[in-house]
Amino acid sequence: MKGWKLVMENENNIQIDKTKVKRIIYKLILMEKDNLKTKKYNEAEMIKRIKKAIEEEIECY
Amino acid sequence: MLLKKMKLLNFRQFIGEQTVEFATDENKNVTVIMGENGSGKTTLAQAFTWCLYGNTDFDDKLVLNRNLERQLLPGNECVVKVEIDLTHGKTDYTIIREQVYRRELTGKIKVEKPELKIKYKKDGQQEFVRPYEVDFIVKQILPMELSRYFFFDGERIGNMSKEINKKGRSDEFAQAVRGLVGLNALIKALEHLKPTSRHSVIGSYNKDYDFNSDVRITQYTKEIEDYQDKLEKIDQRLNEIENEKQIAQSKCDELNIKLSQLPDTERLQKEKEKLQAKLEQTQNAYASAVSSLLKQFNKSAASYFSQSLIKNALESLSKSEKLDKGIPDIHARTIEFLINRKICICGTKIEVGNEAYNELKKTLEYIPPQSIGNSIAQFVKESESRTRYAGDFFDTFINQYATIRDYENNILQFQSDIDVIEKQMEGNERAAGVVQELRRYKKVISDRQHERDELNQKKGSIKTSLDRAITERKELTLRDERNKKIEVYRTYALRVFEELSLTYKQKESETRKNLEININEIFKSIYNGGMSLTIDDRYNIQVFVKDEIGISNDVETSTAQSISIIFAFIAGIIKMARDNSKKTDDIETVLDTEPYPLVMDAPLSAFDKRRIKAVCTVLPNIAEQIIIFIKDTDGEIAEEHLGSKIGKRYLFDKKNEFETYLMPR
Repeated sequence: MKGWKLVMENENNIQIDKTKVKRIIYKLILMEKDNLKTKKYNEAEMIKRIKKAIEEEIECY
Repeated sequence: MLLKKMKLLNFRQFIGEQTVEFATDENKNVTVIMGENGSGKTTLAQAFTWCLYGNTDFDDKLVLNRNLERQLLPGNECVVKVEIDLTHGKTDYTIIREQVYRRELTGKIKVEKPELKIKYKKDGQQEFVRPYEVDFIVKQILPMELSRYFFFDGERIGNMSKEINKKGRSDEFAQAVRGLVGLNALIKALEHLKPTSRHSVIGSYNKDYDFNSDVRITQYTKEIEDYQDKLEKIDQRLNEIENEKQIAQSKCDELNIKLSQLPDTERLQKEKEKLQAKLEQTQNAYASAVSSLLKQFNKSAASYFSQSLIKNALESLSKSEKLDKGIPDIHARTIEFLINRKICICGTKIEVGNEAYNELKKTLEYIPPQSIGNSIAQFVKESESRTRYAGDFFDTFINQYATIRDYENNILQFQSDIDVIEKQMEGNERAAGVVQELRRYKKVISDRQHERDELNQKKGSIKTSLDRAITERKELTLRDERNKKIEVYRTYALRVFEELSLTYKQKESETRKNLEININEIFKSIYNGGMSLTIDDRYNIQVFVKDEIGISNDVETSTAQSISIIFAFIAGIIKMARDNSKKTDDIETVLDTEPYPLVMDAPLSAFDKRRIKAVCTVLPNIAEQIIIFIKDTDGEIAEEHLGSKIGKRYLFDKKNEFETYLMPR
């Protein structure tokens, strides 16, 4: 649960760290831009990579 | 990308090793390669495609020079090679494609698979790209699907210009524009995140929950996935409907043009077009009135219909005396704190059994969480507010509904008038078939519209159910640490999707607006006359002309106009990509694009002298680099107007069908 405390939460609401959202967006666009040119990863692999990128960013301090 | 040099070895009629250097100077960025018909212009243009992608548009896929092929002795081999030096993203690359042809002892020619090699300069040192990465590098430099916009020939322009007159068939435009300005990356990201699909990033989190913690999570997840499947099917059908509608609309447009060209029906067709314009206007007004009525209904209907219940509830509450004893904003924890501290806020000592203690204990009965007094006060406040919303709802609703009925009547009237005209036209022998066909396509459009509306209604109701199931599942998942973590990931993914959707909409509309401005400016400089272009949200291009009373009409484009549009379109895109690369905005930097050259094979054959002059003046100022293969007659005029922009000149010296040499001029 490394970095977990950085995600603030109150009862039913999950609070979002806007900086992390912005970082995820940039990472995501770069990944997509690259894959559009290289076609290195298929759809399922891309979905896995995006999930990994999101999770890493949330877990990161 | 900037092309610097191309070296050919035995490539079709270019026998031996031949080199052509391209103009790369900012002020002299044009290379003109001139030759008579059949001398090798198209072959040289195709050498780019062969080198980068390993294929050509020629029916004969063998690229070895015919003379050499004939002379090749059994057991011997011959190599065909095309080498391109280019700069891309500040790196110098040499792309090499070579293919070995071997004469077997049986006399047959064995053709090896063409091999791609890429060299690049790193810290001044020449290095080779690893073999398994070469295709990726080419794709990074210029994906094949985009290449045709930069390496195009006269025939291709002809096909592209035919596309432009067909509404709904301009997917190539849309793709090219989105690709070149980097919007495809955003589209892909949105597709991968899509909340309504069970296979997307957001949808696939469904499978990551720990279902053992509560059986209801499994039930909700199943429900959610079912809704997602239904939504995906609806979206797919909506897309099909849109395409079918576009095709039918394009057919209707064609048939309407036919009718307006028949002398007997010309007058009736004009009358019909006027009614059609009024009908469309009324249909738009009707749609907006319905939307406003629904908004009003969603906002105030519940309050209006619950007025009587609210009134009864408030009356009952006013008769009750003892309920409202709560102290605003005071919680039981506050009182318990004071009792434990043994000193009140006013300084009075609090001891078990004394007056202050007993008062505070009594207060605990009326404040949260035990007391309902505060909740009732809140309820009364909300009830009053709801009653206000309901105020003039009925009168407004009745008025809006009356307007909608008027629109409906007008629409029916216009449709019936159009019907009468079409029946009159049907009476005309020559028009009868066209009118019947027109009616058939109109019915297709109307059926599809009806189906679309029904599907959208269904979609709205499924979305509501989906949101409810997600909220209810969220309440359960947040109780468990592991599931809470998945819920957080999902919530972040959803936020990313929402923000990206907004960014995409904004960028897409900016792109379209800028492209429209750019194309219009360039189009006017190439094809003068009172015409302008608009680009709709599906990237259909329409040409408008000002008529004598100043009203713009969509007009049928001539070949020269269409080709001018294509030129303006390609140049507009190149200009936009160039402008984009200069932007410093964060997201623009991520989306930025590389400026590209224009390699054109016989592009001017459809133009007259005046337009050749216009094209030659405009393009070199917009594109980073121009390489133009041109026949001698057009070439002289082109050279005259390209003037100081020409950095390199070549001539094809054709000895015979199988032997052409590139000569600098």
